Amino acid sequence: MVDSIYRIASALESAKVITMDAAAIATSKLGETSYTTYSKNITPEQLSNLLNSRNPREIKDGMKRIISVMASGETTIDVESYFADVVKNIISDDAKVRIMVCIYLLRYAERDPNLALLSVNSIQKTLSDVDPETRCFSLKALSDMKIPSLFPVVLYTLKKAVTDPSASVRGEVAFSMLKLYREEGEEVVEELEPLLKVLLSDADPLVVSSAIVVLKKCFPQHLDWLHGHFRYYCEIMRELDPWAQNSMIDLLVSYCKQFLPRPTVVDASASADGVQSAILLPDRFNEIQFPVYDVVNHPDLTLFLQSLEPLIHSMNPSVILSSSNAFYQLATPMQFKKSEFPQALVRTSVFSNNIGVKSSLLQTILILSSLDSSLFLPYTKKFFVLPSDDTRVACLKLKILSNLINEFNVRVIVDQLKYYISTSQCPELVITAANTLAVCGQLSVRWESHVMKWFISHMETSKLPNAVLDSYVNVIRLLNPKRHLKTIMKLSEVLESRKLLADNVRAGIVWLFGEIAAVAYKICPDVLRKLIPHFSFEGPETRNQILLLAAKLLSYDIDNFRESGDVNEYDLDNSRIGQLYKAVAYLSEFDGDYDIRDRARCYSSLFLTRKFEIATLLLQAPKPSPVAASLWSPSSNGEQDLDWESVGLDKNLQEFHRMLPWNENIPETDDDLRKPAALKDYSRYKKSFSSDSFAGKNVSGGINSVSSGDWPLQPTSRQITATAAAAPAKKYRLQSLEEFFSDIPSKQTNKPKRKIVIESSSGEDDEESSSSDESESGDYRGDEDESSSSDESEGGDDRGDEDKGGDKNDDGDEDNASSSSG
Amino acid sequence: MFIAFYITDSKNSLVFQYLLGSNSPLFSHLLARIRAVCPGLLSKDDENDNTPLFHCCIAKDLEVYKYHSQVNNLNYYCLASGADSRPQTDTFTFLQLLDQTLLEYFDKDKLTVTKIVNNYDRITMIFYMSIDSGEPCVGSLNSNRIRRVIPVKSDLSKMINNTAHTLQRAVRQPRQGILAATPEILESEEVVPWRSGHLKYTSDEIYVDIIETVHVIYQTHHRNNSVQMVSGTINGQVNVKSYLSGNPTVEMDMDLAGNEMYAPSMHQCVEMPQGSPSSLCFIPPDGNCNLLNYTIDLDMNPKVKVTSPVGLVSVIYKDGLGLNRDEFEVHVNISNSPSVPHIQDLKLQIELQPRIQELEEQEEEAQRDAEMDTEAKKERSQLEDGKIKVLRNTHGRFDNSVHPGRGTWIFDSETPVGSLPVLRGCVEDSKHPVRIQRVGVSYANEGMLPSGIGLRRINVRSTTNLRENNRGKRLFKGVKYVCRTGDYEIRS
Repeated sequence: MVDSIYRIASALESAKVITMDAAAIATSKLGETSYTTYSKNITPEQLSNLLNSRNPREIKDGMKRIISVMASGETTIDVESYFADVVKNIISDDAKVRIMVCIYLLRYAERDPNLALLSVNSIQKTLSDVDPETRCFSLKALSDMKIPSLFPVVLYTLKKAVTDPSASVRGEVAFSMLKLYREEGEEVVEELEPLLKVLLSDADPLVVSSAIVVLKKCFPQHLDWLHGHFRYYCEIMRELDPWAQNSMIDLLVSYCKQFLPRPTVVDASASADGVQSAILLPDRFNEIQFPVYDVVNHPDLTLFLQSLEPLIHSMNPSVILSSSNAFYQLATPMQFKKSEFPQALVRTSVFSNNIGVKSSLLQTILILSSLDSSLFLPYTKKFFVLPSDDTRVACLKLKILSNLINEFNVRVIVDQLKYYISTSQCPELVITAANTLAVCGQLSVRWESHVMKWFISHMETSKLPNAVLDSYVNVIRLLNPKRHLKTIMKLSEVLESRKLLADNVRAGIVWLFGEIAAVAYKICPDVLRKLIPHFSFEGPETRNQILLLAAKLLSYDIDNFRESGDVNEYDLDNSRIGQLYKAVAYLSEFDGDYDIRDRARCYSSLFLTRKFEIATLLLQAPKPSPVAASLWSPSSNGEQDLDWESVGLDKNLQEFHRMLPWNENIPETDDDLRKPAALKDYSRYKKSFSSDSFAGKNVSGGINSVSSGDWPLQPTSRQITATAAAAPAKKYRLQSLEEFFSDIPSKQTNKPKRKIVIESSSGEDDEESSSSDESESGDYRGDEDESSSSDESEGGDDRGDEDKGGDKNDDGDEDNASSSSG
Repeated sequence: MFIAFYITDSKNSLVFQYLLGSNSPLFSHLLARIRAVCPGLLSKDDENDNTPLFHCCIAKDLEVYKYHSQVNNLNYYCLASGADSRPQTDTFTFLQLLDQTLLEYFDKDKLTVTKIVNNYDRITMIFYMSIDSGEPCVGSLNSNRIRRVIPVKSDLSKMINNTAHTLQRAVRQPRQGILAATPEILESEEVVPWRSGHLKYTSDEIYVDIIETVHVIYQTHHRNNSVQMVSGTINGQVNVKSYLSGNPTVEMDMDLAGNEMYAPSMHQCVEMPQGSPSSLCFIPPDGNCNLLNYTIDLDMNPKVKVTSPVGLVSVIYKDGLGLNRDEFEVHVNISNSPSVPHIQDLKLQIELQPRIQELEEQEEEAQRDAEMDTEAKKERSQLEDGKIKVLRNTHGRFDNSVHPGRGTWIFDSETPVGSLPVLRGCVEDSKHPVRIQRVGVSYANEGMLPSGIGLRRINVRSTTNLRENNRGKRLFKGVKYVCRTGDYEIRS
């Protein structure tokens, strides 16, 4: 009795638990948060049960839990221990669960290769799914597993999938090749090369996009593969995926440099004489001497540059960057300006709120503007610092400004710079602004004195951090003090009248006089004389500098004395400067600061032992001028590799903009190297749709226009077909049971459909393409069949052979090309 | 090559991680490494201690990129290797794209941490789709493909509506019963890569949002109390939300109001305009998309007078008023506009000039100062930079900042147009004339754009009859104009 009651109670209890679970799952439909709470409360044991459940819903819950543990970085559950439980769900009917298993495999397959291999068979089965999306993910999952014993299988799969009717699958093939290449490297190169060539000759922009990315990553040196496709690629440039466009542009830039003749620049202004001087495009940007000129390009180069023009509207900053680089590398400044890419650069940098992007773009602008400021002159005001700008961005803007200064905008720019210097809290910004202001000062004598006066007055009035002050002093030194002695005199008055100035400011000014001694020696001894009485009241830095000033003056005085040709030895004790120095040295000997004492001893020993040459070397050494001057002045020697790093540019950006050399010895060939090669057109887009007006988008349209002239190639490839049908790429392979059984029904469904297609198609070419276009299942089966019964499925085989023929032909072309070029 | 992705909140605690291999480090490990090598990467914008970095090398051939999403207030980190000669732009743009993709996928204005936590599985799958072999997966970055593979969870009401509608249609057109489904799937080809085929909506709709952000800097001229523009830019963004069946072509005609858009950036779907970008033609991607970004350069536009204000709000201030010349007055002029009912979140940041010690004064005090120790000096200078005291205020409230000499005049969340708020204030215990250094303005308004750009008309062309289902209803549900301020500053 008690027993039965107990049983009933326990049954009720379990019923309650079930109800609660059901309720939790039910609420999960309604609210995400409640589902998350439910999911979080799954215990490790439950999780194992869920994953092994027969109920798809429970499996999904289990997988979701696994994924969220992976994503959140939780450590409560060791996800790896569920390997077997997870992997066996790869056969699930639910696509989402399969993807989740793939994600799991991506991360953990390497850890347990043996268990991971268990899933391979199931994945392989889905490789022949009807849905291209499924095939795509299977391929991705298969190649994601980094297990060496699996690589031959992947390679085999790729060879098969490269002729898949779906573009996305073919695109995926490219990425799988990339993975394979990264793992195996040189070992698989020979196998991958033909595959990549097939993909490169695809008609679909999506496939070309993926193939280009792979080409760029794996075989950037094989530019010759692009010969036959150059023109087609230029044509479809806009339809490529934005993430492939930049790789494409980079590759084509290298291609043009390698295989196209250097453009000629013709002087248009001299045409009045009847004699036109012409030069080749110079190696450096903006080195063309002619005021007006025309450019004669190879037609293919023109085609490429034209294909870039629509990209000006791209939303992807990298595309803008790559296109600008293309113009920088391949065209004259005038063409660059006309292409409006400078504007696109500025616009993108103004618009973007992604600081990383912004700084890259500004760095590019900085490089370009230093080579030709006129490119960005109209946008000067866009480089004014905004209050919300990041320090790095602001500094780059100021550096760009320093390239753009001319007589017309200098007033506005100086006003701005003064504002930044006097209000900014950030020392880095202030220093950059000060350097830029110095560049303004170099424009003319008037501005020079203006800037110098402003600096000096500003130096007096505000408290400055050390770094900023250093830059001020540097700037003043840079601005040729000789011409502004009056201003300099004022500085000495400052030194005299305002004892309250910070130690470092005074030290800076004193140091400045030491430097001025080289150009205007006369005023300096007096400055020193006035400083000596207050020596002991000065701060340590100033005392140090006074000592240095005295030593410098003495050194100059000795040199002057020697130059005057006096036969006598310089009399250290009787010369005025010598006595001044001695006074300072004497004072320094009792200094509290050991550094000053040491220095005093050092200098004294130099002078007393009459090693004047060493003193000269030591004290009159020319100082490197601040960055602002050496780099930006137009007279700076035209070395190709300017030291950009001192300006704060990234290395890889510098590398990116490094001017590639033109290939000087391009072999003259009668053949057209870039004769368009046959395209592998799986055209699935040949369909009337509502938006035919979209000529730019209509993929098939573009293909037709390019390939129309090349259809004569088709018959030859057909002839090859007959002989080559049996030969390559047909390895014997064991069929799995599923494939064996699935053969028969698929063929049956195949036939009636084909009839319809043939009726609707008009020409032979169309027939082929549309037969591949028909129900993918049937076609795909056809491919699968090849191994066992090659003559059963006509359509599939026919097309497959066709492609091989095309391949052959392609290779032949390629050979021709290379032999003729070599 | 990407190795791992991490999303963290603004305090750098992990929200989400996506690791691309068994060797990818966990975020906790990476964080420790970053702390050791370059702490600048973790610092935030508003902290002044050291400038924030966005990229750094933590080991040989191992780089960390950071993108801070302002909308979501989340940090995206990416660990990558092998970035030899490519500029960093790619990675930064990709991080931004991921952020946008997530926003578009969930169709939200802001992505919260809870939303991410609740959707770990989906977000992981989106990452899985977007990244292949450590590169951006070319071709599957379009939101339509992502949505096709990972269907958006639809809520209950939508489901009921859809079912009801299907039933209704089945009743109305009995001929095309269950069998009709097959041909639909067969023709499910994509016309363009960014739009899936066979889209069906019960009510076809299209919305347009135009958002402009104003960046202007003015300089005051004290002589005639006028302001002059130093530099000005308007960044505009046109977003389209479309829920249209089939593959329609949309023609959009915009009134540029005399502005010139040079080289705007457009979504892939936009057909190149002939001549001017005022008329665009496109097959819209399904759902939300950023159609067009443009920049109007106010510096180059001869139509814009340098003295006339941009937008509805203009500010003029006077300083050095009162007996002690220590008062200042700020006038805000909000112009009237029939289409704008009110201004939102108006805020004025007022910053006074740090008093520069006059030379002669200092000479006077020189002797005294010499004896005084530095401590006392500091105290004195602190006293001098007093708080701003409000004498008269017509709207809102005034907040003193922790920094002396700065404060914010905060208005109610909605200020009616046509009002003329005035603030008069002084500095406590000031012995010197008060000068305003800069006034920063921030506000937002709906209904009118500062550039005057507007949408003229939208034509939707489609072979399938869009009106079939909703006769008498308009497809185009209206346009929303939003104006925001980015950097709006008046300097003296």
